[in-house]
Amino acid sequence: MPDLTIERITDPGGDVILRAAGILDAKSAPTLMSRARAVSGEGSHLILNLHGITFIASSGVGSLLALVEDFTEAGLEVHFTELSSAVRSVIRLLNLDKFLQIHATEAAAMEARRKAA
Amino acid sequence: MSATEGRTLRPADAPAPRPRRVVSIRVIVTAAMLVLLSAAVVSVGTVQERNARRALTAEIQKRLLLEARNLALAAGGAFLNDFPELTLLPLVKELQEGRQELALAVVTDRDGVIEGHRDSRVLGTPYRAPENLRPAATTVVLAEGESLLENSELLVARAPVRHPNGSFMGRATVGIRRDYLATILARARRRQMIVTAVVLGLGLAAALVLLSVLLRPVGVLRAGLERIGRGDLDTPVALRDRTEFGMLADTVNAMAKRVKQAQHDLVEKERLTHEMDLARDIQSSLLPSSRIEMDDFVIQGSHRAAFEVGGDFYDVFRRDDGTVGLAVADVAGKGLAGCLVMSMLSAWLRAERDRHGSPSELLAALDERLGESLRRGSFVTMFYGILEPATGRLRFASAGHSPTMIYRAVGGTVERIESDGIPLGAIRGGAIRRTLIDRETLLGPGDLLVQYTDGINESFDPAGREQFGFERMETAIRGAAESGCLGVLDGLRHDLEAWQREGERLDDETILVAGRRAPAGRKADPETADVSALEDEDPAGWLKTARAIGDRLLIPADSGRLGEVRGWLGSRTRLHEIDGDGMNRLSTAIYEACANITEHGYGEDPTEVMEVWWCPSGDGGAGYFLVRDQGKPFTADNWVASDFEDPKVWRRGRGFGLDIIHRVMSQVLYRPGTPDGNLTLMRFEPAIADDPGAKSHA
Repeated sequence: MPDLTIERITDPGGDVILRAAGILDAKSAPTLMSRARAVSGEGSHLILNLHGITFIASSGVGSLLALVEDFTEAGLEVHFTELSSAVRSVIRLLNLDKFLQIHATEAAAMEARRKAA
Repeated sequence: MSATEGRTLRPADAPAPRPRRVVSIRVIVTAAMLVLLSAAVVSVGTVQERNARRALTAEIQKRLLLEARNLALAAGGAFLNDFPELTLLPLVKELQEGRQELALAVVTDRDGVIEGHRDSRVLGTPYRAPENLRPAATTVVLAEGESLLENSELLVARAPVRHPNGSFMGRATVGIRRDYLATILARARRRQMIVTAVVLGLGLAAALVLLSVLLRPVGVLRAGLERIGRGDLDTPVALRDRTEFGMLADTVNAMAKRVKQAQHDLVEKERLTHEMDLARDIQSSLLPSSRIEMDDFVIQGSHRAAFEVGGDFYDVFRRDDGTVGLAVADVAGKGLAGCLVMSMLSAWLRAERDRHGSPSELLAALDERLGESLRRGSFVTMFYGILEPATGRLRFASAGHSPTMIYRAVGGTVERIESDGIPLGAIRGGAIRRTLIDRETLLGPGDLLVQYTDGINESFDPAGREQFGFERMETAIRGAAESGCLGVLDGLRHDLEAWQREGERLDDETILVAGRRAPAGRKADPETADVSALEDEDPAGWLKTARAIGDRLLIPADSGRLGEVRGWLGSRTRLHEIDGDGMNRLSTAIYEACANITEHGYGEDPTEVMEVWWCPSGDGGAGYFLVRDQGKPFTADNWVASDFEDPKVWRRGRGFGLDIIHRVMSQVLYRPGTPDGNLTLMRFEPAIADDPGAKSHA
């Protein structure tokens, strides 16, 4: 079984939701990056659900920051939702919660996207 | 076509190399000779001409003075007559007749009146000497009253006309044109130039002929070298020449012979290297790739091949009856032959291992098989043991193999058990049965079996003077025994590498360790434990203190297994008091510390191991984490916190591990390269992990 599984859903507004589960470390981060870049390549905004992430290493955090940069440069947005406690504690540890668009639920993220649009 | 393709020239498109411009030695030597000869001839000619001019001038001065004297002598007789001019006129005419160079011939009386001249009209008139006359430089000896004078056009000799009684009666003056002298010299120079041209022509012709003869071998040499360049090393350069070219041809032929030999050697070496690689692959494929854990036992081996593949072999396998077979063997002889024997041994061991409950019976069966196959003089030393993991009972026998070492946790001693048996295949006919003995021992909690090959204890220091020896092995085992099987393997390898330093590994090095875990339990009460050594920045007492009071996790340098840190932390005393966020952050921080060592210290080598020690100190889950490794030392003392407001940091997308460690831990100390290895000591305080801001406020 792979360390990281990613489920893809397209919301009615045309944005893409990726639901990631498992471990986000140096080994699995390229998988997430690859899937996310496919979304930016399509010109879609991304809602990344991290509810199923049981462990995140610094390389995982780095991949989140890098993909936000990628989307921003492409004129697109990334919204994070349902951060697991493992992800939330590390994101807060690094004070990154101030810089990332984090929402409690996918619905809240979709709402934020609709308002932005 | 892409930009890159546009810039890259394919070999077929590349312009042909411009032919080298060749300047013939013949031309160079001929030109050099021409220049040198010309310079020599011109130099010699110039000196000769100067000497000739000097000699000719002196001769002409002499002759001119003689003419003047003769004229004065004739004039002396004429002056005794009443009409000397009648005598002197024909005399002077005769003197100048047919001699264009004589521009002047005149006789004057003591008053300077002309008494003798070829032109009768000037007779009786005062003589007017040519203008600007000055004394000429001369080597001719002049008598009294005589003089040699010159101006730009004339050279003039004057001699006195004397009466027989010696009194001065007048003067005879004879002059010659100076261009007469130039004419004579030009004629001489023309002759010299003709001679020079002839000499030069003959010299050049001779040089060309000589060079053609001498340089003929060059063509033969060139053809021979081109042939060698094309790879034809069998046709020698045929040149029978007594000059240096002949020696050169001999040298080229010798060189071609050596190149041919070197080519042959290289092909042979490549073939052998290929065989060695093949043998090494076979050898490594026969060795177990992972450790075995059964009940309380952890069993792991380590093998490092020498530069030349050796015949070491070890195997660990589960037997049908639930016991574990442990085998370590050393085939006498290296290279492919040793490797093949090892392969046979491995196959036969698999075939025999479940047929024999007695280790010595199995060794005897292998001896029988080997005796049929090994060439005389070859043999194999071997240890074989059968371990019951549930009880720790070990039965073993040794066929001439290195002493078996058993560490006893009670007392901390190492037993060294010498082999009784003779090596497998050493003596045909089953003689080995009389020498083999099944021994039996019980491995208690914390006990360790260490079996190895002689590449360990016989390993030399870099100077090649002293072997590593059994005592150093025992010291390494005792020092790491508390760390269990993996710790002893790691400790032995570390001490051995420190002993060898950069020395060449001459033999395979194989170690097999079977360790029984010591019962878990706190070694010291955290409330009363002495952690003062961990509060000191000097690392000398860190490991000792950690061993005395701490819990240890051994974790391989395998990024896929670093997640094991989380489970271990969750079950540590006192750490379970930490809340979810705190544990998440602590797990990530320890994970990052291990990930750094895995990547930078061990280069992702999963056979390497690091230790994480947890030493509780005080209430609420506070304490110290000590991470120890033996990898490439590195330090993160120069670390600077990432500025997450900087977009460049976001784009970097990595390198945040130290940010996490420093935010979670209240203190981080790196001490690479200590006698205990590379040590990282981290002070953990749950309050800081929960609120990293508290760290800066503290």
